[in-house]
Amino acid sequence: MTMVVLLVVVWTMVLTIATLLTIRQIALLTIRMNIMNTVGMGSVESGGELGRAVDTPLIRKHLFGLSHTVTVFALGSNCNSCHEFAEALPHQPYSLSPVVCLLTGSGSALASLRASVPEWLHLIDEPLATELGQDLELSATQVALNIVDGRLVGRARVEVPSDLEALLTFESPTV
Amino acid sequence: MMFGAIVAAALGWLFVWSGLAKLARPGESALALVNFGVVQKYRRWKGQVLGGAECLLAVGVFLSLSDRVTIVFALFVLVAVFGAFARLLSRAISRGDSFACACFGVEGEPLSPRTLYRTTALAVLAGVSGTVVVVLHASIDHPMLAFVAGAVVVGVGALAWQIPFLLMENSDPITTSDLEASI
Repeated sequence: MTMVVLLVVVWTMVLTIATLLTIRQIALLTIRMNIMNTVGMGSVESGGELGRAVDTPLIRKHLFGLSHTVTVFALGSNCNSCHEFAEALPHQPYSLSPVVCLLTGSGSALASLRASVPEWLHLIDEPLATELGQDLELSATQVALNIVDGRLVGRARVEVPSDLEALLTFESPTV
Repeated sequence: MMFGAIVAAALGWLFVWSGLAKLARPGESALALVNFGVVQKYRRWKGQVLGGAECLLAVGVFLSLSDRVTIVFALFVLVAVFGAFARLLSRAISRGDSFACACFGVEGEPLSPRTLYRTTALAVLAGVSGTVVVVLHASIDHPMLAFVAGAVVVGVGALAWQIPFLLMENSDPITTSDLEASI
């Protein structure tokens, strides 16, 4: 009797989980098809085309004021991988050229994120972070842009600190 | 009188579901803890601790199914737990916050009055069930049956929750020609 009951429980659970996973897969496929319909087969690259001029009054004031060579990326308070990335960054900088971090979001999560980033990063808070992000065409978090003399020369997805290190030392291929 | 035992078992299975989802994706739960103001710093392991605690709570509820007194105790513990969740939700909603609450381990579900009503309804259900067991001096004759019935209730509920989404998707007029054009 107990065995039968346990078998029924296991069967119900497996059936439920399989059905839910199937439903989730349908949802994912639907989203992908909708994206294909609206965006087309080309990908939307955060930061824009490599080689483009990156020069607006805000960028000149807040980025080029630091150096003619600057790396910038955005972190969001509601992105848990951003929190993990910030915590994993080392206390010592990777290179002498400045690295700017745009902090987006609000509330206690933003305070926690700000406390996690190392001191060698130049932090830019809201609302300036969002305005600069728009000027840079930075549409995603954890995408770092290398800007030299007002031109976008490199871009990389920075999921772990070694990705950022590779971009700063020009060892990784650009995205 | 199985009502109280079935409700307790169903809520226990709900916490198994929620706890395992949090253990699988602790980052979102850890971030929700920061957003709710429960902890100050984001740490992934805090989400794992929360998931583990929910699983342990579920085990405690299942162990309580064999006796009327322990079931009543378990149900009122669940009232306190849901009440605490509801308090956090109402505080965040009244502040106008908007973030993924990781409620029951659901990925990406934003904070909304609906999440508050759902949690409050579960607290009321647990409270009413406990009261019924006490008032009616109900005996628990088949705890294993309640355990299974609770699993069935949660399974059916999880599937039924998907029906509005499925109805919406099934009425979406994406046709084969649309798909060919996009390719």
